[in-house]
Formats: sequence, C-alpha cells, structure tokens
Amino acid sequence: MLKIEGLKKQFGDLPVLKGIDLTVADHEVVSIIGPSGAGKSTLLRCVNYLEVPDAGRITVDDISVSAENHPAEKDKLALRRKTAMVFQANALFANKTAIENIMEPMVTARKMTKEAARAEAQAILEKIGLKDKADAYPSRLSGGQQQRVGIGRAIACHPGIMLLDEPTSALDPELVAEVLGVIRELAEEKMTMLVVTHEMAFARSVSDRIVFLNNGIIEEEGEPAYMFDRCENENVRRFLQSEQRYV
Amino acid sequence: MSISWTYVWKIFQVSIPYLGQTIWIAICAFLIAMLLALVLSIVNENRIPVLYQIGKVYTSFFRSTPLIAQLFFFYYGFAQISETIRTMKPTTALILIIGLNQASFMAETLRGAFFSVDQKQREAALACGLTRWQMLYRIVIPQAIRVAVPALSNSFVGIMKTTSLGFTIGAMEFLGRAKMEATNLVRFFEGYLVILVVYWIMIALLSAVQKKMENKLNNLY
Repeated sequence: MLKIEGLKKQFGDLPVLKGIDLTVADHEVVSIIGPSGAGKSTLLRCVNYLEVPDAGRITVDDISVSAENHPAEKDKLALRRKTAMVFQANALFANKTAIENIMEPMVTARKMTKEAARAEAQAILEKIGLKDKADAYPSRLSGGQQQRVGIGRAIACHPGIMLLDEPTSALDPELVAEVLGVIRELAEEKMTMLVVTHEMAFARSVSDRIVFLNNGIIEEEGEPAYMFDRCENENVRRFLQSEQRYV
Repeated sequence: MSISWTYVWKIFQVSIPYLGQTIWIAICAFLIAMLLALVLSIVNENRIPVLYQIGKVYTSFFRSTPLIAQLFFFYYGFAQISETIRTMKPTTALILIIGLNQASFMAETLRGAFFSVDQKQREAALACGLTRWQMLYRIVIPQAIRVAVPALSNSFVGIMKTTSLGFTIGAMEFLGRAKMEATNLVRFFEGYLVILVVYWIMIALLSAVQKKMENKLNNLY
C-alpha cells in the first residue's frame, strides 16, 4: 500500500511537483502517464527518497515519512526496504552476475543466508525466463534480459510496492515485449505496482487505474476505459492522440 | 679512452645490491602516497571543513613545484629550523617527500575511478535497501579498484624512477651507488649504461606484470 500526501518538489526555482495526492491500494496497478517534464519520474523517485521532497508525506504499509520532519538516513532506509525500483537502464550491478544481482537485496538488506537467497533467486530467474543466464554478467546480457534481471532484483526486495520508471523506454522495440510480459505476469499475481510508462496499450490492458500527470499536478485519473475512451479533458485527449501516432 | 666491459661489470657488481633499497623506497613511498590519497579523496568528496581547504593548498603546492625543490626545501631548508629533520635519515626524507608529492596525483586517479561507477548503480543499490556503506563496499569500490589499477601502476613506475633523485640528499640507493662508482673510476659511459639498462629491464618487467594484471581485471566481468 502506498499513500502520497501533499507531495511538493522543486529544482532550484523550477517547481516540478506542485502538490500530489495519490493512493495505491494493495494489489493495485497504477500507471502514470503524461508529457515529458511533467514530473513523472520525479514523483516516483520521491517515493523512495532518491529525490528528497520539499513537502509531503509518504506512507508505505507501516512506514510513514514526512518531508517536514527532515527524515534521517535510517528513515529513508526503512522506506527503501519497503519499496523496490526498476530503472530505465544501466542499473544492474556490473560486478555481480545475474543471480548475484537478484541475491543482493536478499543477502544484504533482508539478511538472508546465501543458500536461502540462492534458492529463491533461482526461482525468480526461472520465473523471468532467464534460468540459463544465472551466471552471466550484465555486460553479456541484452537490454531486455538486463531489464528482466532488474525486475527480478526488485521482486527479491519483497516490496510493499514496486516502482517502475519507464522500464521499456530504453529498449529496442523487439525487446520490449519480453519485459512487458514479465510485468504483466507480476500484475496478474497481484504485485502492487506504480508504473511510469509511455506504452499506452500496455498501460491500458494491465492497469487498474491510470493517472495523468501534467504540469506538476494530477489532472485526471480513472480506470483505463474512462481515461482512454470517455475522458473530456483536452490535455489528456491531445496527449493520448500524440502517443497513438507511434503505435 | 675506449669502452671497457670489465668496468661495466665492476660497476654493476658494486651497485646492484642497492637495487633492493630502490625498490624498498619506492614501495614505502607508494604506500604513504596511497594512504594520503585515500584520505584526500574522502576529504574532497565530503568537503570536510578545514581539511578541505588544507587539502586544496597542499595539492596545489605539490603539483606545481618541482620535486627536487620540494626535497631540498624539506631536507636542507627545514634542517635549518628543525632538530628532527636535521637528524632524519636521507632515505626517510626521500620516502616522505615522494609520498607527499605523488599523493596529490593519485588522489585525482582515485576520484576518477570512484566516479567512473555509474550513478544509476548507486541509486539502484540504495533503492534495494542497502546502506550507503554497503553500496560503497559491495558495489562501487570493487568496480573503482578495477578502473584505478592501470593509473596507479603507472604512478608506481613513476615513483620507481623518481627514487633516483635520492643521491642529491645523500640517500644511498641503486643509481646513487652506481653514479658514485662511475665518478670514482672516471668511467661515465660504462656507469650510466649500467644504470639505464638495469632500470630498463626492471621497469619492463614491472610493465609486463602490470599488463597481465590489467588483462585479468578487464576480463573479470
């Protein structure tokens, strides 16, 4: 479960997030869409305090952190241990193999034994379809395989919510499907997810709710059917039109 | 006068035992420089007050002035005012000054290596719930070491050659001893030939080892 209350963030003089209120219930999949520069990634990165919000409260399950209290490292750590993030690219640990990447949060953050971690990691590898790449280093994996390992590593965090920041935006088109497939499976298994994406067809089919972020505020949100077919907001319609062009 | 191979051999025999000293001085200077470079990197990275300013002045000074001037200023200049330095062995002074001199350069190498590790990997480590220290220890430093090794090996080779300045303050090592013998026998060609050939072989061997190490590190992952 994730609850964002009154989130504000500015970079220097530029306000990027102007007051965000958003709730993601357990087992819900929420997609964030919107024009570039709207603050989608910033929003996601504030949830696990990779960006420090200027104001607002972030609550994940039983951990709640308020920006006004100037949270210490241990508060941020507590928050990060409840969340997991999948980045756009280049985020795998280059000095660890695929299975070691997946084991890392288990062994280091969750303090599991190596044997238990390896067993669980192997199961995750199997699930993401990379069983035979267990001992491959990221430099030997394709972009799609790397992203899948990244998702596997996020699964290994056992998060209360998984944050995905444009997981397929950096991939060659032919590799996008395999990654979306894994995310779709996770959604079907009821993993709570907050996804920033430009893949409209995917967002539509996988999400329980779609949030349209524009100019630092949530302009519209609702079920996919409403957002894509019945929404009257000009900005939303124009945005969805521009996205369709490339489908 | 023609070239005498007997004298080449004689000078070689007399000075080669001191090669151990050269290597010892180089290793000690390198270790001191490494330690100081690490401290300097941490100070710079975290902008620790007071130490940061001292570090900047220190770096500027040691990078902008000739080593031999630094050596003389310390060994002869400070001897004027300090009892400790007046009674210091020249070898100790040599190790100290080379160490101080090289640390400022090596700190740059460490900084470059440290930042060569992608910011995204650091963020991913934090996002996975690792503490800053775990992130550094398990992800960043292992990768940074790999990047730093070639430049640090080059620093070591440089230090090996710099030890040759020791004779200017009376530190007895290989070049100093060979030079002394060459001067005594008035056999400069033979003497300096020995010096050059020995350094050449020694550093060629070092370079071969360095290359092997780099190949191994490059193919790790």
